[in-house]
Amino acid sequence: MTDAAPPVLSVRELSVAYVAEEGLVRAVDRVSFEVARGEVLGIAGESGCGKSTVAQALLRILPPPAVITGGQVLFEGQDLLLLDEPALRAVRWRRLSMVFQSAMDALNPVLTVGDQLQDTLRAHGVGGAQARARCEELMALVGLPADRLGSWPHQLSGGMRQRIGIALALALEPALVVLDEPTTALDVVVEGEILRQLLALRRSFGFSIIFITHDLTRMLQVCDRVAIFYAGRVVEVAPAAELRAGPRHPYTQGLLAAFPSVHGADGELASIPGSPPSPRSPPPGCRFHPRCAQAVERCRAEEPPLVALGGRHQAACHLVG
Amino acid sequence: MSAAAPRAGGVAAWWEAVRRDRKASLGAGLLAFFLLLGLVGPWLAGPADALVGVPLQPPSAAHWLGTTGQGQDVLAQAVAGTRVSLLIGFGVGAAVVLVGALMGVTAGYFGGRVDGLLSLVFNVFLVLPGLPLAIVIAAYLPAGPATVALVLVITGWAWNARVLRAQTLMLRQRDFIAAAVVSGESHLRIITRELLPNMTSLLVAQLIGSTVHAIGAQVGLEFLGLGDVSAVTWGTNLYWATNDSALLTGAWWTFVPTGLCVALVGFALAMLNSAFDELGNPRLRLERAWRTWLLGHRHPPARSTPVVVTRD
Repeated sequence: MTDAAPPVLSVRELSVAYVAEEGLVRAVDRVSFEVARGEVLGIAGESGCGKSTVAQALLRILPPPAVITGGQVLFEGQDLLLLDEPALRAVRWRRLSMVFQSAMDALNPVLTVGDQLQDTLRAHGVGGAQARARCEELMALVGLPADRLGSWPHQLSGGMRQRIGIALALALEPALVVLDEPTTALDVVVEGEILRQLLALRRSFGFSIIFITHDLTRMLQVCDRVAIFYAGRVVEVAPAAELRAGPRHPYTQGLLAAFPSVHGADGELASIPGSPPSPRSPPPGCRFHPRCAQAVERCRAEEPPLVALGGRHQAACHLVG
Repeated sequence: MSAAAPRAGGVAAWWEAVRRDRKASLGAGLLAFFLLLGLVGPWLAGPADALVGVPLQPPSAAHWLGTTGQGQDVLAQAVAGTRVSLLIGFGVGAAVVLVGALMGVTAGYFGGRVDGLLSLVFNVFLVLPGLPLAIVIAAYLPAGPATVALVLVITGWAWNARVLRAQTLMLRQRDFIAAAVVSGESHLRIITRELLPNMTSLLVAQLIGSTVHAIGAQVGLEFLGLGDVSAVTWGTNLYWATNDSALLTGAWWTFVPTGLCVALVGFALAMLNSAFDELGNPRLRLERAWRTWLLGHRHPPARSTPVVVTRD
């Protein structure tokens, strides 16, 4: 991955709010990140930090009462936020697809797996024998026997269903696949297997991945780069190895200390005191300062910008950079 | 004591939902007017049966809405009809939903043979054509408002039972019902505390729909002369109006007031229904706030997540 190649996706200052009866609740606030061609970007954070909201905002599939209140989503040269319905339809799934968290809910229980794959293909102009051949090819890609095409979703295990979800996402050879906690409901063995397979597919087809999870350990294994979200803001972005070795933001340090290390059990697990702020009334200054052990006066008053710390490491904290 | 608190909150929430929705406020206001009319109207408008003047006189200062073919006051008749018609309408509506809920929820909850038997019963009632059956039954029973009510309940409950059975079957599989069974709750408690509250909006919608249907069907039956034609109801008012050839003689004032009353009550109930939809599904309230907000920012609600750049 060279820095010179234009990124597949460039999100700039994206803000998303939910309309509530008392006004706007800002779930995502001026978030920026990029995904290079063939890269796996991880987005991690606690529940409610806005990571899934960002993922759905990219495809503009956030249900009411969500509103995108600003920013740009530059995908393959066009701003998805400026597109109308037909233009969006042309991009969705064909170029930018998604694997949903709950594989059971994402599959229609009254259609066979094969029908659903074919529906996806047909909706985008691939039909007949060509579609059938492609279905078998996709099943092979995700490691399922082709005779499973005749199965209904309830006849499959959770892992198999999620493999179908991945096959659906890859059906049209998209440039970017968003994985919204795809393996959260699966056991670690199946999870590891599916992720390994996905990475292998990425290597052979060259698509990019946005991988969303709250399992930081898994994320550091899988991703090239990781963005840490906190209360609707990006607080740190760094290559996975760099983040594991030297997290700079106190929140990231706290997150990493809260996860057991796979390699060698050293030290005790720490937890971050308190809980994330309500998006209805985020604290002034740095949003993490009420829970931060290292907070100084400046953190209470001034919101830290995301600054480059050398290399491709960025963090939003007054104490670094 | 503690059980009373959420109940009070419930009523407050219903009131709040009606107040907040313009359509529902209109419906509630109209309905309140007619209920009041049914309650105290006869005292204000005078006796309905009295022969007060020359038959078939158009509206005048003495008789604001004119006189009928028998020389009765039309206003007094329309007002007097309100009480019986609303009583039968709401009574039948409630009875239909009650019987339907009892049969439907029992069938859906217990399943097996109970379901088989009850489903057979309400499927038979479903294939019986409603209004013709009502006419046949009404023709054999002694005429009167009670007969009309009974006929409407017999021919009306099966659809509600059918819908509620399906809803019960769906809810029955949910984890919270399984949790209630595991925690040792009795069948009665599970049905009344776990199942029925989840159908509140459906039950209210059915109540409103059944009431509108009952008022219309009752008026229809009585219009055909299948009620007690000596009673004063909206239906008999219309029956007498056609009997006296109101359409031929152009005596519009003998049927328009009563007809308008029927239409307005139906309209009021339909308007109320929209607020109860939102109450049963709190997400709809947020969606409305969202739509209002978007329109306030000159953006039509769209299927894809809307983009509205705000400066605040």
